[in-house]
Amino acid sequence: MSESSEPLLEIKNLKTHFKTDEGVVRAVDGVSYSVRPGECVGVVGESGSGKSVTQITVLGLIPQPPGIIAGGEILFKGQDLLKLKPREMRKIRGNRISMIWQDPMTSLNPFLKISRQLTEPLMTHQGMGKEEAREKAVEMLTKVGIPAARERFDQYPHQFSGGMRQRVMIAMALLCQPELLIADEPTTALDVTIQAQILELIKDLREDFGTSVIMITHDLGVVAGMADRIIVMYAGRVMEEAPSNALFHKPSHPYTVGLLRSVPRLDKGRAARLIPIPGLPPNVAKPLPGCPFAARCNWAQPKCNEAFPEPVDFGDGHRSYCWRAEEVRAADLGTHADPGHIDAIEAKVKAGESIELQGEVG
Amino acid sequence: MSEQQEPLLEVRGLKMHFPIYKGALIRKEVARVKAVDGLNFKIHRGETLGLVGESGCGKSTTGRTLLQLYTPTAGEVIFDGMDLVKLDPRALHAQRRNLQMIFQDPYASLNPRMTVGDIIGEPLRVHKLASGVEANRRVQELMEIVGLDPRFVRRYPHEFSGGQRQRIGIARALASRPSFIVCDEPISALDVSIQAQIMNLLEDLQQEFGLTYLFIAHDLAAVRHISDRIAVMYLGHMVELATGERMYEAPMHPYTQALISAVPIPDPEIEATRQRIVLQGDVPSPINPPSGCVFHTRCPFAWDRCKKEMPDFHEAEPGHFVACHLIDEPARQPDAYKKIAAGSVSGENQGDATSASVSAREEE
Repeated sequence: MSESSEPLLEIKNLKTHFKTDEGVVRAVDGVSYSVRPGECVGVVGESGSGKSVTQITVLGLIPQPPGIIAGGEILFKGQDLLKLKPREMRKIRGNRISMIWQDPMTSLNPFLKISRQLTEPLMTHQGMGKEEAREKAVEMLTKVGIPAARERFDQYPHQFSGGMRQRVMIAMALLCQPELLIADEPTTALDVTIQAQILELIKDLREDFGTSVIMITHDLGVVAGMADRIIVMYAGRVMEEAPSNALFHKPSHPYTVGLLRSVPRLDKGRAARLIPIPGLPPNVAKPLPGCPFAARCNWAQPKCNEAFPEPVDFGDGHRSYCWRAEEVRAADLGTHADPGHIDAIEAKVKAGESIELQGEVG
Repeated sequence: MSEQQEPLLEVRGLKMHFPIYKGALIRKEVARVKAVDGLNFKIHRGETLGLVGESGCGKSTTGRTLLQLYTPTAGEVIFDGMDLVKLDPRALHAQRRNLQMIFQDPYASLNPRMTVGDIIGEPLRVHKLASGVEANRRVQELMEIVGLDPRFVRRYPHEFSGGQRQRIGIARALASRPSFIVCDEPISALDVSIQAQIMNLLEDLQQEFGLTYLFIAHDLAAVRHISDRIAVMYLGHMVELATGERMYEAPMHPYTQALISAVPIPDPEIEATRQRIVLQGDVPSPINPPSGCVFHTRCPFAWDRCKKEMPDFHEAEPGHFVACHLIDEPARQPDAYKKIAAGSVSGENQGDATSASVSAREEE
């Protein structure tokens, strides 16, 4: 995918805040990223990082109040979704942009047969007649791998297993052949063997329909196999964005490095001890002027608490929002494979020495 | 390690069935959920045995039944030479201080009305191990051991984060100086960056106090990281048991092979080249499990025998147990299966020499 192609979705400096008793929670605090046509973008972050709220804002589903869209633009094919009237937004949501939610049990209506839930978008958005919509919906259910789709069409959600329900959700999301599919932790509630089925399905459907996908997840493994590009979020901010390979092999933000080193890998076994990120995720109700990760960061300097870093651009869409991004990148601390070596570097970092290790680390 | 070979706990023919009743006046047993259906395995002193499987496979029930939180339907649980199933309530109560549990949900497993000090100190009172000043001192010591600030002793669970609560649960489990701890999904409710903190803590505690763990989780990568040996369960049965390395490099059961191939690895280059075995369908209901081998409905290699005859859980190579008919009918083994079982697929990036020598041994 070349940089030059026009983005399908462009989020610019988006700020979604919530008024609560404890103050204004800055769930999304100046997030910018874009998705190009046909691309799969992974958004990674822990709970409270704002990865889901960003996408709920894109869909125009933030309840206001308590939510406040405090700033920014969401350009979908150049059109700012935040400026649309609710009626206009309804024409896009579920039609040109659709979503797969995390929990297929709570996001299907338990009182309605799936036939009703699947034909509704076709009849509303595409003006199909009932019969035509039924045909199309059954065809889509078959495509997502529901056995005996025609016989099961008039069943209720509880009659399907978790994996099957998620397939129904995916079928529903794809019915109108959306240009953008937002998948929010689509496999978190599922077992690994079922997860493998669903991920394969999303991959196949992406190829068939050329849909762009935003895959929101906390699981680095899931995005490694799926995404072309990855956005790493923390406390309502983007920390790093990069093409998949670069993110895993040339991580250039201390938080990304921290995540990669703290996750056990099936292929690494017991060899090395995990290196956890110290401390706790921050309270987004008490915003700090600087980098939200500074309090847990081994690389932090006084500057980090004063101002949020400007992005450092490494080319090919690889940006890191860290004052010391160049050094982090050069230190090459990607995994926990060689902790002794990492300790030595980290000691140097703490002591404020400069890092000159390029090419030395295996 | 020779001392590892001495079993601390031995399970023989363990079954845990939950009856389903129907009828308001005359309650009649109409069916049974066969949550655990005939397990045989040993846990060695000082080791971590990982127990993996998908939801509903009976792994948590196994952990709870070992600790006699459920009364097993059949079988023996021999701990330190005693069959826990046969112990009278008083003798069992005395044994409980040696057997502890860390629960999955750090929110539901701590009483919200008790202070942290009371929660951690409860085992001391229950087992009359310490009281008064001595108990307080011990509670503070336990808090320090698990990385909590002892000044928070009078706080309530809601004042702590998920990771800190899990530390409280761990301190409580350690209070009575147990030798065996069942860790039931201890990290799955925690954020990624906190999971590593808790795993490292569990490893440190094991070193320091010579603990033996049964580590139950659905996350195979976490289990591989922390366990010496790994057992895989499917629908109430144990299908494979081996060391972590052997399990990853040369899994012998088709279900284990699929499970391992399904776990994503956080590295795009590796992901791009991995062969994924995608199992068809869902796990059948444990109320009415399939005949013969319980996995035959989803097994890509099943034939008639698998539908009729339940395979034995036996030692196929030293220390490697498996329940599959393919093992004693090598002629039936498809090439795809052989390749993985011989360790030539996932073991590529690892020690090739070991897998080659083992596959040579298998062919003898």
